[in-house]
Amino acid sequence: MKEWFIRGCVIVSSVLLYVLFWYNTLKPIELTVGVYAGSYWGTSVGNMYQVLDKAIRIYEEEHPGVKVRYVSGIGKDDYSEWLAEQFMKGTGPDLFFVLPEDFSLLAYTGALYPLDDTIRQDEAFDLSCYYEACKNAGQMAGRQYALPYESVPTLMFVNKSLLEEYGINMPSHSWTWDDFYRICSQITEASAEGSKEKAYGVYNYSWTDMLYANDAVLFSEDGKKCYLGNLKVRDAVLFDQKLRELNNGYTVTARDFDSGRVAFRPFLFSDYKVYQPYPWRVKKYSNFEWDCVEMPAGPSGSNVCEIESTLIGMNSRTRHKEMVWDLMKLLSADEDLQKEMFSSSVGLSPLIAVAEDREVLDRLFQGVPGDKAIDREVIHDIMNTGVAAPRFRRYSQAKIMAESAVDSALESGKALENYLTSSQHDINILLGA
Amino acid sequence: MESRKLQKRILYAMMLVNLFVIMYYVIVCTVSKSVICEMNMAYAFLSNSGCIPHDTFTLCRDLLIYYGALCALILAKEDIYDENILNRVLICAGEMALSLIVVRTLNFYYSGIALLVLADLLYYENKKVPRVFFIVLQVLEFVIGNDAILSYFDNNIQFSSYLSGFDPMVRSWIIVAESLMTFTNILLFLLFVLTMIIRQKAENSRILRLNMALSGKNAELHEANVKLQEYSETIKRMTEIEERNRLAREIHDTLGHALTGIVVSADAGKILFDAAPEEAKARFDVIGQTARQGLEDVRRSIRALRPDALESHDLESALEKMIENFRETTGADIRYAQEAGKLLLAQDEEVTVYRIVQEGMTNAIRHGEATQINLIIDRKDRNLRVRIFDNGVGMQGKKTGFGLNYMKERVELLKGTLRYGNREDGSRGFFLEAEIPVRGVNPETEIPKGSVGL
Repeated sequence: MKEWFIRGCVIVSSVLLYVLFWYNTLKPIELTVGVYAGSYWGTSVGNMYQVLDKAIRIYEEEHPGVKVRYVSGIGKDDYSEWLAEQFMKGTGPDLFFVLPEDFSLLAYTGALYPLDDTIRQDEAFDLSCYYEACKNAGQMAGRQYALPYESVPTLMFVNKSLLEEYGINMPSHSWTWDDFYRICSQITEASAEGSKEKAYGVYNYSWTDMLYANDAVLFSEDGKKCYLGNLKVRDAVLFDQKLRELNNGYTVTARDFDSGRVAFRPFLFSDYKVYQPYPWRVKKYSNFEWDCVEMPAGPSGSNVCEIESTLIGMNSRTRHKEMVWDLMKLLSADEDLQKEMFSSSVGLSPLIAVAEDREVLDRLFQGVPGDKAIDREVIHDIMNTGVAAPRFRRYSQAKIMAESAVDSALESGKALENYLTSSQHDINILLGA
Repeated sequence: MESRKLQKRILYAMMLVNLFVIMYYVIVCTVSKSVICEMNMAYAFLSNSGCIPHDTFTLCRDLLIYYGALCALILAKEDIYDENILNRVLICAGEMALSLIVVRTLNFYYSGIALLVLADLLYYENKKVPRVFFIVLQVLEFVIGNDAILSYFDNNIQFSSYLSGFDPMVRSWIIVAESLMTFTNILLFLLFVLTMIIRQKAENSRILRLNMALSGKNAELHEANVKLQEYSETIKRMTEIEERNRLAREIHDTLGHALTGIVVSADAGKILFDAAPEEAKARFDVIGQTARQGLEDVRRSIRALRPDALESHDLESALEKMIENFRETTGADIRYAQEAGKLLLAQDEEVTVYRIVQEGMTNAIRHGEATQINLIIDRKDRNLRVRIFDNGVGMQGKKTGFGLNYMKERVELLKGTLRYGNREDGSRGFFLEAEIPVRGVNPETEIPKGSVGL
């Protein structure tokens, strides 16, 4: 009796499993994509859906029987929470766009599938088609978790009209901190003496923005160590302090900048791309002439800027890894689609071949008047020397700690060296925990 | 046996309780996840817990499969558990592995399943399986299979993180329910162990009772043995009496009959002696015949008994006496060599040796018409060997007489061997060789130690 019962159970369950399996094979494969609306870099242009729709069309033609679906209308600000909810509920999309600040969370929680093996097995694909910094943006702890989709370097905005007013030439792309400081002090001092409206050197340029240009890193690659006490970091902090002292305690505001009374500010390439050519040119900063140059080089470094990249990742729980990989490659590494993205969106393509494509660049900057400060050579230079921000679990926390430590060190006026060293120790404890 | 049934029921109850607990955790986690999503806390939850929670469907399915397999194994154990030690170890190891997988799948929120398996291990007592090893492993699983401890080694979401999504009030109720269920499981396990202890005590006292009964039976058996010995003594005495009666009857039947005939014939002869001398002569012939017949009968009767000579002499002198008599009556040349040392034999062995020599010599004279007989008694290995060979006509044809068969039977009774036939050394004559494994004491072992020349 009992034996029969057990046998019956085994037979019934195997039949059920078979039916379930059979049913699953009958169902058409449906891939889901997680995507945000608009642009990550907050400019009003840039449409994610346009490129994605085209990619889906191409993909579905190449893969008959596979449907790709996405939920539209999720704003960039809600996207992180939306994605986290999907993963909580177990309905995480098979493929999803990853915002730079979410990357490390999604990688260490295991939401992202490590791609190293897939890349190794795919002979048609080579990571060297991307710029180093773009590729690195998808790496954590030595593993490639995501592919770059769109990249935006940080440049230095130059108020050409203000410089002309004080008889200063437009700085070259290979300028240094000393050049930068000279121009700032010249403007500040001249405006203080004269009867003209007060002008300032720089807005929103802090020591953390200076680090890369001085060949300094705040954290080790694996995120286990902080280098706040390092000499190159201290140089950046001191330079920051020196620049602040020029303003005699005055904090430069966005208003000052918008009204054309500030010479410099760190500026995203995305903004440059949108506001430099017509018709957007007239919308913003229209009361003065402006352009962008590379970041000034510190005493120990060169003209290196930070490059931010949005990424595409694969859900580690997807059941169709190969198909998702094909779609990922299409979105990230297909030159035609990337050209489309480069043309319609605000960023640069992480693909070397697309970002430096003359045809696309000419079309993009045809509305830029006068001498173009940003051309193919500059893009080549910026993208090849640029670096990606560190990616590890407690990065944002550790960065805030370091910033507040420096702020209070500067305010207290204590011996900077000791203060930074002891703060470094505190941060190391956090990172080690 | 009643308690064993009870234990089984407790085991089933534990299975059910554990299923409830597992489902409870799954439900709490699922509800918590949707609450957290509702509160837009998903991102914060992920960055705090550091990993993505299991999908409810997958978790449910995996848990049911693994736990179902574990329960099926426990239920089927009664049928598939056999004497094969490898099978037993494999089944126990399988149960433990499954329980570990279930606990692992449940992120170590609950390790009470280890108690279920532990109870099952205890239910099937057997000393052969490395039980202590398994029990220690299960206890370890129960004690350290706990997310608070294992979260140090494994990147897992602790159960308490899920609770963070609820109101403090709801949270405390969840914890109360959790504790109640966990304690029910522990209570059931305690009950199980208690029943087992009681059962074992009962078993022990039963064994004690059985032991006492056994020793009583032993005494009875001893008594019966003594009685049996007494009985055999009685039988022996009765046999002796019977034998004596038989002898009396034999004497009466044979000697009595013959003597009567002789007496009658002698009386008749005396009367007829003068009147009819011829008739009287015939009577004397009858007397002689009857006497000879009687003598023959007596001989036959006596032959069935122990030789007279052995009764009054030891074997050696009995043999010598017989040989001497034989020499005188037959005039044959008998050469006798006794090289076996002192002959210390058991009674039946003595009789056999005596009979062999007697029959052998008689045969040599009667059938072989021999004039010379050689008789050698010696030892070969541990056996006593009797060899007789003569210069007679040897064996004519293959027919063996009654005497030889009789001799053979006697030797074989003592587990010895008898060989006979025409002499093999080419000379004329018959030979006979008997080897008897004697039980009697070997005289060589009785030689005083000092004289052994080693």
